[in-house]
Amino acid sequence: MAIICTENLKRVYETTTGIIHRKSKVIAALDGVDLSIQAGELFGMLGPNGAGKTTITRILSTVLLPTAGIARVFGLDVVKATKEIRPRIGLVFGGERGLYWRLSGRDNLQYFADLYRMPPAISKRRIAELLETVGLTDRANERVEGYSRGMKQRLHIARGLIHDPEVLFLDEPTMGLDPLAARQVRQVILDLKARGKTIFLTSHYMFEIDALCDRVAVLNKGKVIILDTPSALKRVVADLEVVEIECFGVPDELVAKIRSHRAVQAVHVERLDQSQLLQIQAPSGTELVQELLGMLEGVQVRKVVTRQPTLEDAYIKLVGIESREA
Amino acid sequence: MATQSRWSIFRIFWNSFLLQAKDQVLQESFITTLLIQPAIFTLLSVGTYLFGRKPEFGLYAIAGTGLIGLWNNNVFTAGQIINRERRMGTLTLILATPTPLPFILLGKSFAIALISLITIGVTFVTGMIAFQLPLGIKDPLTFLIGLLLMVIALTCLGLVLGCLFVLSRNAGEFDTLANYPVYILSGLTFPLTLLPLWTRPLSAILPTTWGNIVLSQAAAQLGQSMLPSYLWLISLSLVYLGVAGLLYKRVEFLALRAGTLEQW
Repeated sequence: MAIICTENLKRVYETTTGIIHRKSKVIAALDGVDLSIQAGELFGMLGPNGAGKTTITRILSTVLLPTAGIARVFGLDVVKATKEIRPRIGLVFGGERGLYWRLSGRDNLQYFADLYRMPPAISKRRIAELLETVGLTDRANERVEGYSRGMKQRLHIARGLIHDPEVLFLDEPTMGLDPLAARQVRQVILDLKARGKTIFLTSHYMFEIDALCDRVAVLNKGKVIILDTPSALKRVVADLEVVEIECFGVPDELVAKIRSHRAVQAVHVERLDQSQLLQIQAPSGTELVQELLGMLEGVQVRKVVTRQPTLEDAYIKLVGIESREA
Repeated sequence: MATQSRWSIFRIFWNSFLLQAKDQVLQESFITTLLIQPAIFTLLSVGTYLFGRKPEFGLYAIAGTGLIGLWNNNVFTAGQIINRERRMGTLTLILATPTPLPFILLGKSFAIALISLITIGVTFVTGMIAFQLPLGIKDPLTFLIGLLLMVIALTCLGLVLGCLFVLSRNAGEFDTLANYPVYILSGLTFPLTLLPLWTRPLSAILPTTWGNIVLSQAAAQLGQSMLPSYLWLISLSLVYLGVAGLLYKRVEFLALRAGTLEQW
């Protein structure tokens, strides 16, 4: 039996603008999502900002009501059975919020242990174990306001695990962390998976999903556009190659011109510190580099690389296609 | 199991109390709202009566000013509990635990009401130092019972306010709106006898009205029975508790439906 499942799950938000002439606007954050996640699975959810990743995490963790459809965790309805579901799930958000900054790391964990009604003797032992797991034992008695971002994030994970939940919802847990801190968090996630926890992970980072997840769903504009294993997703771009061009000051019109080239399947522009990185997907063997450089005449080009596609390229292709069709 | 459950509820109450107490004492506004503001209010209020050649009202003015501080700090801070949780991003997380929010709010609200008592001390000390008023409490037992019942009533009122604040971050406007009508209707700024009769029912539902009667009379030992005031304070506490209980389930549903737990 699936431990998490959704059927035609929908959620809309209504926002209003203006004071006298109030106008309301309805935004569909989730638009008919069907998911089925098995016990012990590490399930990833990818998607651009506003795709609905956080919304679905909130609904499944009982802190937001769906507008329509069904969402079940442990076979229980997330709307009606909050009392039964809440003690069995853990919730971790990315970012620095979600902790009491004026309390120590240990006091934060103790407070949440009490809220989960853990007997003091058990919670004390558990807190010591978790602090060790996330590498915060030495700093446990210091106030959280003095912690680095990575330390706060690791404390978040410890807080989410305090009551030893069967299912863990991780909403962008490595967001904004430096590479070392992010790697430590990923290691903690892998350890949890090895201990048989079911994990629902949302992330922006493709390599993270690729390295950690058993299956991944790509969410765009509230819809699941593909759901498969990371390796199957990569096959979406198996017959493509990616040309990466790092350049300075490429105008939007030129990007649009490249995008409209007959051989180009997708273009992604990443803004680096002072330059831009164009990632252009085209069928293998197209020999597109000279043509592209011709199109970029007058633009200062720093580096050109041709490489094999990754999961990130599959994601760019999928989300890009979906955006153009919409 | 039942003992374990009761114990865990007590621990939640106590830890929420400690958390709020620590947080409040470390806030920058602690000195302003609990020490400076009540002292200034006392100087203005008592000074007005003394310079108006009505020294018999000095004690009344001090009790009233103390209660203004108590109300001010309590309503303001109780209202802010939820908004602070919202700002810190912890509101969603505590709501996702198996502990009902009212248990958490009760501990926090009690901490606020207890800390707010500092204002009573500040007003009495200011009155003694600045105006050399003889401020020995004539009936300390009545005074202490009155304070205790006030703290309980304000704790329960804080629970109602906390529940309302879950619904919207804009509920914060309430404390600004509530202050002056409450000072007047409770007789904290001038005696209730000066108000028209139709305002009496409104005065009766405010804990500060009964707290003011108990504290000012206990301080001066006027010999009247305080039983009706005690009963009013106890009844109001029970009503606030009932309202909070009824309100909370509905408020939680509305907040989860609107998705406003993290908007700040």
